[in-house]
Amino acid sequence: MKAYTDNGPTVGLFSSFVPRELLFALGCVPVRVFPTATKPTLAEMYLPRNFCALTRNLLASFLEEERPRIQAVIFTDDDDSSRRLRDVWAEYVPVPIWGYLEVPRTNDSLAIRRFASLLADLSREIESHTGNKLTVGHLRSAIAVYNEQRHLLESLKASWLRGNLPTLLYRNLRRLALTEHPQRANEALQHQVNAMSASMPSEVQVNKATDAGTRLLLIAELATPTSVVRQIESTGARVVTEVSDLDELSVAQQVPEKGETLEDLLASLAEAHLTKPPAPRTRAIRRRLDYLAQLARDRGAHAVICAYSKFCDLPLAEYPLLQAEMERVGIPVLLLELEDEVLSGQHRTRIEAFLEMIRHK
Amino acid sequence: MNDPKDVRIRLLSWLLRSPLGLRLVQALLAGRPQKPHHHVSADFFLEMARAAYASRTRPVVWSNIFVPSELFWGLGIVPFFPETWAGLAASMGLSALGVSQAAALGYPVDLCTVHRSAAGLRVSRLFPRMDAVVATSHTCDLASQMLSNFAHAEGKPFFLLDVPQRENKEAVDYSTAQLQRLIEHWCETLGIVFDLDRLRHALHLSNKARTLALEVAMLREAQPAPLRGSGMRDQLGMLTAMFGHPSGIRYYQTLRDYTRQRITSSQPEQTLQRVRLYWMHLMPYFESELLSHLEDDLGGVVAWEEVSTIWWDELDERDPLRSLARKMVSLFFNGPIQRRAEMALRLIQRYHCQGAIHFSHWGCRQSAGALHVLRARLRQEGVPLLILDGDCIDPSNLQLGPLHTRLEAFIEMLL
Amino acid sequence: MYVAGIDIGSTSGEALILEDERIVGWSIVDTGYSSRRAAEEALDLALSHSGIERTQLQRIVATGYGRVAVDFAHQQVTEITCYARGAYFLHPQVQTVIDIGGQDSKVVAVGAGGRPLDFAMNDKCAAGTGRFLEVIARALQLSLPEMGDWALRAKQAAEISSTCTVFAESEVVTLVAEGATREEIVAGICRSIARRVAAMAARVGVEPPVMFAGGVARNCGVVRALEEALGHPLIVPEEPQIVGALGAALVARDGATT
Repeated sequence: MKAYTDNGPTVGLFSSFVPRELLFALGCVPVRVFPTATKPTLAEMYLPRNFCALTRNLLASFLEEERPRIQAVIFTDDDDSSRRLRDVWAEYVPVPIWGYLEVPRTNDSLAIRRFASLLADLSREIESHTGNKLTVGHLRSAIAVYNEQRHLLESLKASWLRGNLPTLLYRNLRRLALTEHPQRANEALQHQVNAMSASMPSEVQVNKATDAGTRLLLIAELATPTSVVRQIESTGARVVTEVSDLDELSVAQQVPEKGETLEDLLASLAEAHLTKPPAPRTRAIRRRLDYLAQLARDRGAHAVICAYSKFCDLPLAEYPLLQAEMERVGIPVLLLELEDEVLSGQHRTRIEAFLEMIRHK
Repeated sequence: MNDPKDVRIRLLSWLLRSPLGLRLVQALLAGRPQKPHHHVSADFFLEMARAAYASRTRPVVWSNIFVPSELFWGLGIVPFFPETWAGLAASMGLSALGVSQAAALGYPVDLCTVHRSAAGLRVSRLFPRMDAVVATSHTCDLASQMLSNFAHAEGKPFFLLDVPQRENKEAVDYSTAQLQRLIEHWCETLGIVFDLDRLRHALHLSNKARTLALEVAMLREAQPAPLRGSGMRDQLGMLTAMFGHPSGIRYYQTLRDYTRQRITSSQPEQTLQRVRLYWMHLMPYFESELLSHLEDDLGGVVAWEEVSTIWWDELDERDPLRSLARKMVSLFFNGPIQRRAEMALRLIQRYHCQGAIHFSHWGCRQSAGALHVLRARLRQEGVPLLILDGDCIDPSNLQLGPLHTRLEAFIEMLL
Repeated sequence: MYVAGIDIGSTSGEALILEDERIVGWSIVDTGYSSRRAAEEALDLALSHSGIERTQLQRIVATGYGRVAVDFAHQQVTEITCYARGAYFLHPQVQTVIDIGGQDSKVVAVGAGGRPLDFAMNDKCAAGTGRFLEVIARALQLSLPEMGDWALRAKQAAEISSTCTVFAESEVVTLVAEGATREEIVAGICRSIARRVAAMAARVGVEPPVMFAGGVARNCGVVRALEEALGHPLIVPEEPQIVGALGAALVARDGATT
């Protein structure tokens, strides 16, 4: 069964915990919102200056005349910043809120059951806006579309890790998957996968030369700013994994499509989203540190760079433990607190000095 | 060892851990001229300290302030609230120590000082032992994050109560089920024996204290205001620790009698009362000229503080866990800012306040995040709101000059 | 009847003498290290400009950051009240007054009779205050008055994103290192401060006509950037620095007649 329409309303998301399958099955095009603000100070009209920089930049993007073309948004209760952003949004941003999804912070059977029931509530809310009804058929095919996307992204990730795809291109493809109509995105991803398999690996070994260089694990919230990635790779170091919503914190596993009822399918979506790799909001610090350490080992990372938004509490408060854990296994960590995409001279110097230090070790 | 601060901390660490030391502190405090209810609260906190620091008979569970205290008292657990104790340490002039230790641990300086100070005090051995940790997810992100960090650092079990934002039956059901699991988890990890009657008794004590606290709230409607707002800056600590413990009843009884006596004798604590105000969020825990300037020089009287508000309904002793779940979910700091704004408007009307002051503790995102919306809502009803940026833990982050100007301008505007 | 208003800010002090409805003299001095001495100096200078003796003054009101130090004043009133009063006196139609002070920036909504209806002031950071301009001027080796002209000469403004004065200073150093012109940097700084103040003004709600008072209003770069950020033209009084002292004198006149 096909989805309702190829061109339904574009619905903006601020969290990787909202199952995009659900929205797509209801005839919406779910897209992840990335900040586009050119005047970030606009946000200071409504949010304090010492408020999560990413949140402020997201708000500012929608206060400008050239705001992202989005018909509605879904909020989640990910953290204090997103809760307060929602309060401000409801009053001052001319883009309607179509839903507020509470996402449990735990992932036991109780939490999964609750999340599935909250997803059912959300679908009813969206039904009231689109007039489309959630059916087993639509949800199943939406899950299939995103499973296909996950499959393609995993294949591209493998190419990237082998050094056959430049980091910036790989990241652009991942961003495209989050911000475009899923079927159109899948076509583009498929095209790239085909291109990769058609060419001989030896001809496209883009990063081979730098394989011997420093291998870095990046940790960020939404995505590491491209400027940081560029800066790192311009020195010959190589990014080998990125723990952010852009990459490792998205749902990578295939979601079961076989459910007979809506309840089954919603339960599958709930479980997949609650059991994805832990983000700071889950407060599951042991699980998160084990996950990060394992990932660092698997990818052979020599060092970690945390590129966090300034004033973003949860990752910043987790940082001292993360640093201690990594350094215990001999992996140095650099913390960058960033206001936006633009890197200051000080930031650039810190990145360079950090990489020099590692090379000298 | 030659550092006088070091000596002070060692002494304090010893005092807290020694039954004799605590008796000494108690005797010293009893001799100090204090208001009668402060004696009750001091005794209560000393008893908690004795049980947490000096004794090993009952398990000590660290918690954020929004886990219902009835649960601890009803299960025979000693709760320890790092946030409250960070405030207490600030009132004793120890915040600089906590904050500098936190920086040494690697916590960024933009994080809330309540939690940073707690992290620093923990590693300075000024906090007691920990057998387990529990936290609710609601209202303040950092509280549960830091508690989870503490549990991790000490290798102790951590339990997160995931409290929903919306208040409805499903939210209460979900929270009730989690409380049930929490108790099972504690029975297993702490070896406690669950006694339903004991828990019910804690709810019974809590309800009695609540009735008395509501009487205090009613008495404080009086004009002139019987109490000074600055004297109530410890209310959040009382409200989140004493309920379910017999001291709660003694405390609110004493406070009620004291308030009543101030009214009947026509002796309000604050003599100059020109403008009645509603105080939002916290007050500096340390002695500060900020409040004395407002109260004594400008005649602004804080008729009611947001954090003194009894937000929950009477607890149903027949269904304790559901009642406690409801208590968590119904907190008006939880959910959208409108909930807090409507509570503010009700209280502003009830206490005949001409304006409101929001003390924005630097780094507290949840309280300061949507102040624009709050301010607009209050203004709609003709209530001006003054926002003061400050720090309730770290005196060096409270710039009195600019704050005094803002207070004065606000009072000039209201008069 | 003569009254005086004295406004002691963190960088300059002003005094103004009023005879009923008429300004008879005023002065501007540097605050220096002592607010009290600056107040004395400013008052003496204003008196000599007016040709009257201090004994002829019926009442003195002090305002501004250093008001408490002016112990010879009969009354101390905040600059919020005084700016509203002063602006109303100069332009009774004014609805909003903005002042970018050295220590504090403020936006005041002016009601009937020059009464403040609401106000907003900068938060703890100095990024939206005159202090910010001073720090940057120093980093660029420019005097404050020069900055405005340099800003107007810029073809484009450099992007200053930092929320912190200290970091903005280091950002400026980076921009210099990257070869941005002084004009572009100064224009960027003016725009940055204007956007900050405009965001703060939005909290009160900007109703035109808007008056821009205080010393920074002499900086044409900031005036233009602020007009762009607010979307309203600004009324800049001939002597923008004396609005606070004028307001204080008006408060003194009220006190003297009642």
